[in-house]
Amino acid sequence: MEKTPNTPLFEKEKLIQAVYAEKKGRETYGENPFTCYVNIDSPEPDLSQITATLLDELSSRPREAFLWTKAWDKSVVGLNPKETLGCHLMEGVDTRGKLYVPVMTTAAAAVEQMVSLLPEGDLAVLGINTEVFTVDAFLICYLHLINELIWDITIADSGGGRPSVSHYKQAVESVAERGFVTVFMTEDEILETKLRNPQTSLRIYGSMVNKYVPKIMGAVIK
Amino acid sequence: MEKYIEKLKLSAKPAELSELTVNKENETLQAENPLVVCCITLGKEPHLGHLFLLAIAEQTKSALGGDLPVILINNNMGPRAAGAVVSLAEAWGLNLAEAVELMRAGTFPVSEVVERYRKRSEDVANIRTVNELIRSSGVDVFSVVAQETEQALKQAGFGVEIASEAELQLVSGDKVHKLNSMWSGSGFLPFVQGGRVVTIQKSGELTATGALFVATQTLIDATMADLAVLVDDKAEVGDTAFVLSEKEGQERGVQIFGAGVSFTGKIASGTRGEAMTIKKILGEFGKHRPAEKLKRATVYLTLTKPMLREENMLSKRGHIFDFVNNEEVITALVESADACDLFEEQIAEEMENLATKVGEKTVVKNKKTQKFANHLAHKATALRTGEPARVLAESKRVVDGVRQNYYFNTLKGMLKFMTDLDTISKDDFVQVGLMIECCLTRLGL
Repeated sequence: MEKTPNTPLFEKEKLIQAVYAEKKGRETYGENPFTCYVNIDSPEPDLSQITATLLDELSSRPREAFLWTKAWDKSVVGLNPKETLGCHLMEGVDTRGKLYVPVMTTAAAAVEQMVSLLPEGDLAVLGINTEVFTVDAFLICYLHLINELIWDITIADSGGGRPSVSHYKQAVESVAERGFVTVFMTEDEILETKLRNPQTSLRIYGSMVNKYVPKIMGAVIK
Repeated sequence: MEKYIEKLKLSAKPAELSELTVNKENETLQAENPLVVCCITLGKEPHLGHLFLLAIAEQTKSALGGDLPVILINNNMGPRAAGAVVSLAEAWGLNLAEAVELMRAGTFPVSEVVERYRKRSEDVANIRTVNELIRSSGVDVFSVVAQETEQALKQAGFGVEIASEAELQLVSGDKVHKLNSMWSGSGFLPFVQGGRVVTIQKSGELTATGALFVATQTLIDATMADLAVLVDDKAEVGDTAFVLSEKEGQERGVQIFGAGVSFTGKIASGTRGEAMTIKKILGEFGKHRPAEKLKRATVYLTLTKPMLREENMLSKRGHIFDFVNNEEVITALVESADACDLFEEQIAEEMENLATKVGEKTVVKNKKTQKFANHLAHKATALRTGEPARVLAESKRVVDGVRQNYYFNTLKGMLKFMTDLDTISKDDFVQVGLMIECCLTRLGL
């Protein structure tokens, strides 16, 4: 007798596969030519500072940032006491990247406390998977979701055409002006939101480098 | 309306300092009870490169004085040690706990342990299980190699004692929390000082530096050593020395470079079997000279044989002694043993000659030597009191490819001084005798 798949699980996997296949015009091959180094100095970093420096970096270098986001926005959470705190976008070959010691924690961090200190905006809701509990895993998810929001606006502004640097720059400015709200959602809540509202963007963790990052990192709900 | 990014910038808090605050008032080097440490994985038998490493450690220990022996930390933890246990369990159909216990008891011969180490497993889950077994019990899975190594080193004249890293970690208590209380408990622990970061723990596990730091700090606490000298070129050794010093605000850890071996310019490690094991060297050397002279022959070789020069690409990998092959190594060691005997005989002869020059006052043949003669009493006192900072600084210097040694250089200077004398006063004769005796003792030949 043929094995009957567990329907909810089967549906979930199908949904993940569909989301994973949805590249939205982003590169599907090759190394990212840029890396964003997120310099933190404690297991409870200042999320406002990280967000502000990310948006500043993306708006001041839109050409590079566009390519970075288009190639799935690779980030490294690290520690470098010789550099200012927050985000630094660098070319992959930049030797300054070697000065960052990658942060690899295993214990639960006060991520809800960190999020509670963020100001609220009205452009979208970033729903982060509640399974995330280490600080480095959280930051990876958080930055990917901000980028997902920026990319969503970029492709919407391009009106179905080819997204350009100017569309991207506008999207970054729009996020910097209106902001977003960050909340925690269970995986089921994230999937249900996607099923109810197809406009919702999910972000899947493909690299699996950090074992504490869940496969479904979260959702961008507009 | 205020932009979101402006709100973010307003709510950002000022940076906190995660560096350890240390009192740096006292930076004088203390070495009344120095501890010389090296670290070797005894999953395979130590080879020629390790012989040189231990000879340099012995040389350093003798130069610094003190009562503590050189401690060789047997690196018997981590994925490589656990991988050897898993491989042995698979080969003999044992469960993992049985394999750990039988390796601790020394049930398997050295050859089997080495074979399993070379063919170590990469099964992540089993390695994790064995790691936990080793960590929780503190057993030495390389005990059979450690025992044989200790025996061979004793026969060769070394005073080295082997300490098990697993045991040191078991009794260590929490040595790392204080290094960075802000990150403690997170599974990632950086030691940050003066803009330099040393990772002590990552992904919940001690790094190589973290493990060496814990083992060395445990030895320091147990022996009440006031200085740890770590002998090896490896980065984790330099990082450990840095942490030991910076956490106290004074020099408590020093790295002295070790030595590698190459055959006609190609690195010769024991892994592929190019370089002979210490046990084999002992056997071959023993056919020509008494085995217990091996340490002295090796120490003398490290004092006199030039290493590969900086312009050679290979030397970028560290300090390398180059030979043609193993046979040439044995010849060099035998010749070194003879040269060492000859050197000591020469000193004894020069002392006898000097005795014939004893007169009312010290008269020298040239002005440069006069300066040395004028300060003889002062130099003798400084030499006998011990000058750890100068000793260590000198041992880091390389001149014409040869590692420098404070006491060996002083001794060579003394020989020159003795030949430059017309006559020597009784007092100065005594001082020269004491200085030579001191230098010979501190050379540890």
